[in-house]
Amino acid sequence: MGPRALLAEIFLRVLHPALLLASLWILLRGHNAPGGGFIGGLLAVAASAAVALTFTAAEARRRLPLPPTPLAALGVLLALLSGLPGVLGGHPFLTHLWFIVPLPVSELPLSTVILFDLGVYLAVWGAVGGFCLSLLAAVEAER
Amino acid sequence: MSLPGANGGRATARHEEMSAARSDAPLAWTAGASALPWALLPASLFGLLVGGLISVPLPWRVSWRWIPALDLHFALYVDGLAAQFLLLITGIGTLVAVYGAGYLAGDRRRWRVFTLLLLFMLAMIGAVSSDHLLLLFVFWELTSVLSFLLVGFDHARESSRKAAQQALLITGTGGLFLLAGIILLAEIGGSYSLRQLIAAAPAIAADARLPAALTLLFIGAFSKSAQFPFHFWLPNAMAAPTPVSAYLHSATLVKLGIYLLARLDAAFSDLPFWEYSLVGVGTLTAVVAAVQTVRERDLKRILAWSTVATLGTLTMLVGLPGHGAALAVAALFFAHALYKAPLFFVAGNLDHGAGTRDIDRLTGMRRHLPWTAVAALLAALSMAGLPLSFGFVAKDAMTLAKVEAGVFALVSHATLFVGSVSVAVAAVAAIHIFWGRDAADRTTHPHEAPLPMLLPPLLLVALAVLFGLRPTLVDPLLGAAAQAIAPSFDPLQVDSSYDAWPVAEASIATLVFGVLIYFGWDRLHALLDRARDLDELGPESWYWRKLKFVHRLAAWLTRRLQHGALPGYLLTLAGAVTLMLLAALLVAGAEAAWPSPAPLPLPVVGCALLIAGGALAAVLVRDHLVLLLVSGLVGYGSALLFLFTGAPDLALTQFAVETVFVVVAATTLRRLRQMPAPLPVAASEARWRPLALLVALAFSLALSALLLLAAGLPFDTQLSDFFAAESLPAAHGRNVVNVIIVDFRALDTLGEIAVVALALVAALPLLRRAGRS
Amino acid sequence: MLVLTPLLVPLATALVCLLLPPAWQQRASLAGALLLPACGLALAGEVVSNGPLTVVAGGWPLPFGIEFAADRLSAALVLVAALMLNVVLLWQAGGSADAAPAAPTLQPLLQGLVAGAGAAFVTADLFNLYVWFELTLICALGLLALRGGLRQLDATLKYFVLNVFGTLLLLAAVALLYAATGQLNFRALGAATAALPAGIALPLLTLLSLAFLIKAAAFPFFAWLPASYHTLPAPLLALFSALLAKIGLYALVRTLGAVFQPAPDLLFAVLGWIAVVSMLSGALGAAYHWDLRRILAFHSISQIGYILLAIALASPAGNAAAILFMLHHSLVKAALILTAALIFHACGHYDLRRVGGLYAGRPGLSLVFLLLALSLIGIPPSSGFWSKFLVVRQTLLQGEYLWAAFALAAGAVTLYSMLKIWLEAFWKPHPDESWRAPANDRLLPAHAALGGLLLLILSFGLLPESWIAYVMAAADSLRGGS
Repeated sequence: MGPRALLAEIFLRVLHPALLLASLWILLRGHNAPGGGFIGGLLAVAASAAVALTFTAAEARRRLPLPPTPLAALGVLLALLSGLPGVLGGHPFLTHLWFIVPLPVSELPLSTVILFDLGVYLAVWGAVGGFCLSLLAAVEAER
Repeated sequence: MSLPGANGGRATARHEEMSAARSDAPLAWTAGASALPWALLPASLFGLLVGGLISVPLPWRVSWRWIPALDLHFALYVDGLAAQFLLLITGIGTLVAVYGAGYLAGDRRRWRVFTLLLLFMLAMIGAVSSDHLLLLFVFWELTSVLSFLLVGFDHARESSRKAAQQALLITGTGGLFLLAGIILLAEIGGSYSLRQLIAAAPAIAADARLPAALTLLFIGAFSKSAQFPFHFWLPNAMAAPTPVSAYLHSATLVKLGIYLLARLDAAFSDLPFWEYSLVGVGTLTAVVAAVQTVRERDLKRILAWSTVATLGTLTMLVGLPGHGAALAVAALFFAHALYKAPLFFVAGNLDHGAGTRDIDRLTGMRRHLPWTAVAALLAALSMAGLPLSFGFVAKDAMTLAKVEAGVFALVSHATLFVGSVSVAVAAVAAIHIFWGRDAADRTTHPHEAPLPMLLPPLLLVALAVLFGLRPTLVDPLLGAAAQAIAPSFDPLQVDSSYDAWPVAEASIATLVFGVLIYFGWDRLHALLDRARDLDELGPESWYWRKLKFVHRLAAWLTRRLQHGALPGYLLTLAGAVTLMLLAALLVAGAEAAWPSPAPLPLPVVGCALLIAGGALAAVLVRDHLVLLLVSGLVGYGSALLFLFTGAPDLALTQFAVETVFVVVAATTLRRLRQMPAPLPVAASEARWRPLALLVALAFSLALSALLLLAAGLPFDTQLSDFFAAESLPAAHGRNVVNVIIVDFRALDTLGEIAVVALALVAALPLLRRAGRS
Repeated sequence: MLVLTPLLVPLATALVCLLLPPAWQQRASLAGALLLPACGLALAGEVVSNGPLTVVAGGWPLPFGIEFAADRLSAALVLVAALMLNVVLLWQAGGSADAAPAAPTLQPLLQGLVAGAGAAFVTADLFNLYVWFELTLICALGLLALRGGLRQLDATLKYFVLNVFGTLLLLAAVALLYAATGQLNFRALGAATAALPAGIALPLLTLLSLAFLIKAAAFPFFAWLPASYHTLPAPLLALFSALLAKIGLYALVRTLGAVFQPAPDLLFAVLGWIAVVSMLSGALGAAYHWDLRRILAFHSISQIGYILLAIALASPAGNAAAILFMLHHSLVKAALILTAALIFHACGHYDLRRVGGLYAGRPGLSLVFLLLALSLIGIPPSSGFWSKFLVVRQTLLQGEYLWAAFALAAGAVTLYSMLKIWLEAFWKPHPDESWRAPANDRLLPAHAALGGLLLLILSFGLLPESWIAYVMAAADSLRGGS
């Protein structure tokens, strides 16, 4: 195992999950601090693109939770569905519901907003990521 | 210029085609019998009508709801004029069906003709019974379309197609004028009902828009009834099978325009504009058509031109004021149907039996087609207006009308000439063809037509003779029709209005001239043939020139607008947008409050310069990689701008997008083994460049001006205040931008992520294909 | 919730299709497509009996949230979109007669297109409208590129560049209007714009109208339409013709006719002349061409001119005429394109010089074409006649004689170009004497789709009362409705 491969291995094992975790963190903190689904999603795309640039587009694709198109579709569908619980409660579409779960130390706010933002995150990851990976795959095929 | 193959040769060629499709006489009988049911509908309608006329006094009215929103009711109104038309439409319709059964026996396509003829008959019935002008227009247009289909029956021949196209283009375009006229007239008179319009005539006459409305109506009616300068389509429409011609051009289609004019006569007969237009155009049409008649050698086209002449005469009579004219219109309508339909049938029998309609080759037919000869003779009698025929009665009424109205001498001479040509045509149809010397070297063997083709003409001429001998039989009918045209007309005075002397005088004059024209036919024909060059000035050549002009205009315009070069399209688009924007700014500029420039914070100016520099460089550089990097400047500049103006989320997103884009695109470009050559500037694109630069500058100028104007207004912060205030308490979020994205305006976000996702879906196949190739 | 279904039903269907394996896509798409007309009908019924239906997403107070509002106009256009979607899917079921390739992206893009159009018809927020314009644009591009040939790619590029210009213009207009008024909700925006100094309202509304005119394919902005439409498979071409330019026209009716009432007179005067030139140049383009699809595409521009003319009259009666004309044109143009596809199926060509003999060979098809052509020309009693009649009558009544004259002249040229199709494709003998009309195998779905459309068109023509009454009420409720 050469140093280059070692570096790559480290990258895969450490950096990629770290980037993804960071993107998730950005997504979750977005409601109260700079961040949110769009930026988080883009960071995830950056993580995927890094894998593709280091290894191959196919490798990056394997590391996506779903193939790009269903991933993006799932994201949009999630965002759409997050608007429905409110409707069941007799509110207009996209009325977000909040459940504040009291915890010993603090409290845990759960809401459909998180679902919506997660949808944005997945949609951006799937769509932009899919676009980048396809482009890079096309370039690889060209070589 | 004339239609290709419109003359001479057509008659024989057509016959060969027909005889190929037609079988022998015995088969014709059975086929004829099987087609007879088609006559049942018109016959029963005719019977109903006659029964109704005897038992129920006119007028008949009936009205159904149809389109209340447009105040359009299915309102029918049958008075004397309509009744006369209905009798002719159904009566002659029956005979045409019988005749067609014989004429088209064995032709596989006869069902199509019969269906179309029946539909046409129904449309005609509707047109003459409508009280609502829009309803009339509906049926009017239907008759145009159905006659188009009938004229183009022989559609494998280009000349048939052209003739049908010409007929519909002229009557259809005329219909558009008519529609405009109807709308205007209804607007002036406050109603679409003919009854109510006639009742409101005095008020209408005072309106300044009336001449315009009437002109539009005239154009519609004249095009339908083949008046000058639209007359030429009718002879060309002789491409139709003979039963169709007999029906359309003797009793129905072409009379519809005159019918409408006669209808409106009750309202406008006192207007000088009405009288002069109709008398002028009618007389001109009659004279032009009479001259054209003499130029023809094809019997059917001779009859067609003489029909146009009669239509002109009818228009003239409608225009004449007075009771006599009303009666003359009614009488001539009737008489013309009774002699012209049989004459068309005769032409069909000759075509069928002798294989030609060329009058040079048709002589001495009396021995071969004896019954047809009888029909021709009696019809000719009526056409020439000789005593013992109904034509005589009509001529009598016409002469009296002219005396009563005191027409100009010019009109009087013109009608004398037209009448003489009628006499000559009658003589050609009856004497020349049937009693002339039989050609010895005949190669074909002419034979008499079968019974279904003989009964209809014989029946009609018998009626003409009957009514000629006993005019009182039709007096009530004519009187009622005349009363519909001139409401003050007393139907009881019909009988007393016959006056022998002026008629005899006029008859003798037309007879003498007519005989002269008959004997001089060949010489006249040759003479007029030499004047062929004058056709170039005529309306028909104008029609062909216009058609060519439309072709050329369409080609020129379309090639310029749709040239296929994207840079040109974009230039047109941006140029037009810019021009209109600048115009709007100029118009508004005087009133606009231009803001005084306020100093901008330094970082903002820096960002603006970055963005502008990037954009400018992107236009100038040729290298792909450099292009990518400088366009990145625009993105980073924007991100910085967001940062300095207090939107860190947007800035972050923009940075991320820009970075991912630049990195991936740069990698793509770098990895491509051979870097693509600098963008080649296509020659066509280079041509656009100077203009494109100008448009781009003007466009940015316009947009900047607009931005300045908008920025000069005090900004209404209602929305942003609400978002800032409610973000935490109502939406549980401290990051206002994120709350806007996921909550306040989440629907926008949903749309945008759908766009992003579907953009991938849209692009994937292309990317995959790029990967494969 | 009902008012959101024009967006949510097709959008959810598109997403579900993307998550399903290709074998299941068509079924899922069909289910969604069948649900949509039901929603449209329910929406129309609700709107007619109880007046405009509105909802604000998230339940925020106005003007802060995004409002969806459906009135009669919205409901009618949603129904057209729903109908056309089903027609396309039915046509695709046969898989012949110039059908679109059964790519896995076809169904999602179709549904996405309809979702964008449906949402555009019901949104009452200017920026949100822009979002739905984008969605339709993206899906239209995907559908254009579906066949992937060089001609398609060239068409896609032209469509993309020219339409993106229009979309960016719209974005600029939205931004500037927001800068000037601070509002995006239609009602608030209308009120705020009315309070603007006259010198600013005119250029701002000009910019907005220009963006919509590009989308509506009016002269001189129409190049994208005839440059791209003829490369589409027939059912998609029918959908595009019925729906896409209509979104631009709808937006014009909605904004100039309702939101920004009373808009500056000058705008309408210019619009009238744009309409006149569109009518004439479209009709002349149709007279010039020989490809059936190109002829029909240019006719669309001409017909769009009529609709613009009606909008330019700036009166409730004019708006009613515009709406009726939009409905008529969507149905008839789509049906004519499908008829052209059947001509193509029978003869193997769209080029009129290479087809013929159909009057004898395909009498049924001849009758269908004849009825549709008469409607397009405006021969009564047909949907086209009533539409044209309303436009011309209102133009005359408002004293715009010159415009009316041009409208009638364009009618004559339209007559000429439709006659050309009839003479060449139906009456002229087929140029190849050995040609025989092929068997109509696998055409049942296509015939059913066209037949259904034709029945609707005929009932429109023969019994137009309910249609006319509906559009008149729609025009009357435009100002108070949203």
